[in-house]
Formats: sequence, structure tokens, C-alpha cells
Amino acid sequence: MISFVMVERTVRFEVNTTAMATAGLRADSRLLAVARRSKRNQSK
Amino acid sequence: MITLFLGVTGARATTEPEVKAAFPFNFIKSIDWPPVAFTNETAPIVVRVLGETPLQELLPQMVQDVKVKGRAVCIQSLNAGQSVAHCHLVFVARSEAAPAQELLRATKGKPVLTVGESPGIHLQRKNDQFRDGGKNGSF
Repeated sequence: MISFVMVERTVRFEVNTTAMATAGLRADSRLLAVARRSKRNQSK
Repeated sequence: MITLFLGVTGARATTEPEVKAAFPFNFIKSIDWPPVAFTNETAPIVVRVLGETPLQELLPQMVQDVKVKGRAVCIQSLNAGQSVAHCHLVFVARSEAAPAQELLRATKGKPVLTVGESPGIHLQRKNDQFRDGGKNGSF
């Protein structure tokens, strides 16, 4: 659901919001705001 | 905002492992698990670490005597193939890419947050799409 990525020698993270929603987990908007990128379903 | 997240941990992260250890701790504070994920209102948040990583030593220091939303945080190691029942967050070290796929299948649809040290642990499915997070945030 969350992965670390190194960007220009800086640790960042990516969030799969689709997987989190499926699991019933809810992320604070501040967390998603600082994520490098997040992912959600294209459809719907 | 970045300072806020680190400031709450009370830690001054300087090395890469220290920075990475701060992430799961902040994830715990930023995620709401459904009530069904806990046996009662004071049950601890259980974090399990799969694979060899400095976080196995750093995380317990970080959560010692700390409560998040009224719950203690418990750090345990996890062996490949071991059950993740009653677990809320699994951190997968870089060395565990193959077992991670098994883990993702085992936790799919369950209220277990999976955090991977390597890119791609969150998997991509056909209908999923990336969008910009909006800001270039980092810890």
C-alpha cells in the first residue's frame, strides 16, 4: 500500500489509495499531501 | 508540514534508517483502522517487520512509552510465511521482495497496512492509475 522511493537522495513514499480503501483503512489528508504520488482507480 | 510530522516523533532523524523509521511511526498516527481490526478499545497497534533492517532496532526505541490514539504500539519481527493475524502494519525490508508478494496476497482486503522499503510493494493493477500527489513532500 505504501512504498519508499528515493528521489534525488531523498526518501519519499507513494501510497496506493485503492488498496487502502479496499482494506478499510483511511489515511489522513496530510499524509496524502506529502506523498510523492498516490494512486486510485481510474474508473468510476 | 514536513517539520510537523518529524517534530511529533520527537526524533531528530539524520541517517537514512532513522528517516525510514520515522515513516512507519507517522503512518500509524495518520491512518485510521476500522474497529474490527482491534479486539477492544485499548488493544495495541501491532507492527511487524519482515526481513533484516535497522528498523527492527530503531522502531521499538521510537514507540517506547508512546500511545497513539490511546493505544500502545508493539513492534514484532515477522518471518516469511508467518500469519499476519492481529497485525496492523507490516513493514517489508528491501531484502524480502519475493515473500512480499505472498504477504500482499495474504493481506489483500484485510485492514493491514503494508509498507515496503522497495518501490513496487504496493503493486499496480490494470485499472489503477497514478496521479500527482500535489506537493513534493518528503520527511
